[in-house]
Amino acid sequence: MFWLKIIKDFVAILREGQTPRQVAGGFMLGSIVGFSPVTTLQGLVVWLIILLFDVNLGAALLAFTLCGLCAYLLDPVFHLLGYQILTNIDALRPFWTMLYNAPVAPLTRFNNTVVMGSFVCALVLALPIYFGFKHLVIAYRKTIGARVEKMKIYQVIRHSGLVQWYLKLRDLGS
Amino acid sequence: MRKKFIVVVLVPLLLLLILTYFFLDRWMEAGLEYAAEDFVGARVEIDQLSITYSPLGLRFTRLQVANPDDPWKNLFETGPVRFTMDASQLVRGKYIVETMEINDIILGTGRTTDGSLPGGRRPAPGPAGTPPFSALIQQVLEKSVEKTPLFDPALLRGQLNIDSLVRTQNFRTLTLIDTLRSGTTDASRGWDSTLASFEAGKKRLQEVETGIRAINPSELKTVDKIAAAITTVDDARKTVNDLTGTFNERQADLKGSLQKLSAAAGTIDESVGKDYRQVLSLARLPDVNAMGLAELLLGKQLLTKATMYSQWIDMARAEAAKYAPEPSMETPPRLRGQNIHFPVERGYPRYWIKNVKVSGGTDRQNPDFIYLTGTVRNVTSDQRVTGEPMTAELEGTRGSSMTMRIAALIDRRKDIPVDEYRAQATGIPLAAFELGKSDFLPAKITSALLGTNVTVTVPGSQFDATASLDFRNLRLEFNAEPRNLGERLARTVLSGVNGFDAGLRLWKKDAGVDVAFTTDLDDRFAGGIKAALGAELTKLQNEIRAKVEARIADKRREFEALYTRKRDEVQKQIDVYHNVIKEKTALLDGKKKELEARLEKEKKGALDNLMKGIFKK
Repeated sequence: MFWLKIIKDFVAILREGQTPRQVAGGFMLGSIVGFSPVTTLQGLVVWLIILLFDVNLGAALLAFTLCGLCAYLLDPVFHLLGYQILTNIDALRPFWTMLYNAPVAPLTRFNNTVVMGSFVCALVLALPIYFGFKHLVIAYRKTIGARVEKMKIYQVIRHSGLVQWYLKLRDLGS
Repeated sequence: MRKKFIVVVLVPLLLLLILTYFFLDRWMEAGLEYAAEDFVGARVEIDQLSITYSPLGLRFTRLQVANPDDPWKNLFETGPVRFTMDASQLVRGKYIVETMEINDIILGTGRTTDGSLPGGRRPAPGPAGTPPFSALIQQVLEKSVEKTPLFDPALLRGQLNIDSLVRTQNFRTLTLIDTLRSGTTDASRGWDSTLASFEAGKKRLQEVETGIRAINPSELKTVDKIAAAITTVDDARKTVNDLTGTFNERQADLKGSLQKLSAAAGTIDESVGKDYRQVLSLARLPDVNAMGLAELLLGKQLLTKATMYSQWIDMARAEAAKYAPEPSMETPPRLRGQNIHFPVERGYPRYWIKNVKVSGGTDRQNPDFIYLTGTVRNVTSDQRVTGEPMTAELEGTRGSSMTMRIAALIDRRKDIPVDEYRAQATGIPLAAFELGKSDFLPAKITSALLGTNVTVTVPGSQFDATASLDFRNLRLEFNAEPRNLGERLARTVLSGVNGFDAGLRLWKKDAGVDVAFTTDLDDRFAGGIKAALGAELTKLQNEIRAKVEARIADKRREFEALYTRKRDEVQKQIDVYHNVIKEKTALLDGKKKELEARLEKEKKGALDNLMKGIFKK
């Protein structure tokens, strides 16, 4: 039920409610924590930002789930990327050594290949995800939503028993 | 900003933090008490614990640790305790304690409440490993100290049945001879196969000889034929050289094997000596040359004390071993990645208490109270990282006359751990110190001042402990009249002195633990024993030796005959083959010289003919 509520909220937010910037922001932040392993200091900070600022929580949770699944599949890529960053870039080596000896930095687990690789990927993808998602929300609200609702297949699915059951469930919350 | 989150989550979290701040001291106190109780197996009580945040640390006013074996007493209690930690290392999960102060430790104080734990919360015993030193010393105590020699010549003769004693013993020499015999049989199989290969070599040499003898240089008329014959001789020589090389190798193996057996056979005499000494010790004959008063008078008491103190060493070693670095396990599952390590400016172990200042002792109300003060340094989980061994130095007094100094060094930096313990004390008043044994001069020191110096070195699984004791202002009380010559002599020696020095050495060898006792009175005691018992003892000892040797003699003769026969056979075959090789080599060398002379002659004749032909033209 929890996930259905999230999806309901998410679909609702695609159509109306919070601004596209809030939805895109939530999705972007959720993707950052989704890609990274959970037990890191930066993960905690990002969760605090999600919870503290008025970004869309449903979007963040959905991004966290989707990106978590992607992270499992992309683990070898993250490992390889992190390994290259940590070991093969000589210019960064003094910086890593300084962080390694700093008091709080080890809590970020930056010296772990998967943490480093996934975090760099998440940061690189953050802006494209933000702008892409923002564009999607705007487009959905302007044109795609209306077009989708006019499609025959949408009508069929919408009137199917399963979707009616879902709508009932959706309305339980309101 | 999400106001709901601030109200619902952050504000309660802040309240929780404030609450934690006020209650953390109590929670920490309870947690530490529970953990310590699990470790000790009895109540541990900490009073007024408080956490300090700058610098990060703990302090409490009193710690009581109950004795698990006597819950109405404390193992020890302390006064104020304070320590500070390195906060920057704590976030890395490393517990680095810069300084710890433990003041006013008092041992063995009484308790007002029961210190036992409810529900049998006692720590499980550790897994069985190598026997602790205390157990080894206990074995020595049981084995050696109760053997008091017989001093009375009449008793010696009357109680000693040498035949029965020799017959019932399992002599190690007999086992050794059986082992040597089977070793000789096994080795002789190898020798037989080597000798068989010599036979094959001999045949091959015979063939070579036949081939060479068939060459008659006077029948060879052309240079080509002579040259071909020389090549045949050279090939034969090569074959003989190969066979000689193989022979030399096998001869060296054979001689090595023979030497090994010969060396092993040479230990028979030594083994007979050991068996003889074993029978001698069972016969309880005093060894007049090494008769020590120290073992008889002080052996039992000293070893009992040594067993007690060695339990402390066992405990120290067990605790030091407990903090050995754990092996790293490489099992990287998915999403775990690999940790890349960078140079550290300063490596820290998981656990390191740099400096512990300790002071305390027994109850000050007692006029003989003990007061100790000192430092313990570098208690750590990994000495290889800190580069420092753990050391402890304590100095103290007891009452107004006694001083003591205790030092320990526990070194785990190298592959073989090394421990050293030293203890010195002077002016220990002795009011009641048992001497002797139930069957030898039971006596009591009623008044004396004792000085002692103990050193224990424990490298790996070995150990070497020496203790010297210095008895002064001695007053003795004998429990009964002397019952035999030994007691009478010991009493005479002791009554003429008001002090003596005694020494104990305990050391572990591969075979087990050995012990030696000395006193500065030993020579006088041994001289007296020698004068009174010397002739009778020598006679009995010779009789025992003869009977021990007689029991071993048959088997020994049998083995020596087998070994000598086999050895001579092998030597004979080696000599024969050696001669054959020598003979064939000489034949080849002679034949080659002959052929070369023939070749020279033939060449000269051909040259003369050629010159003659030229001049005729």
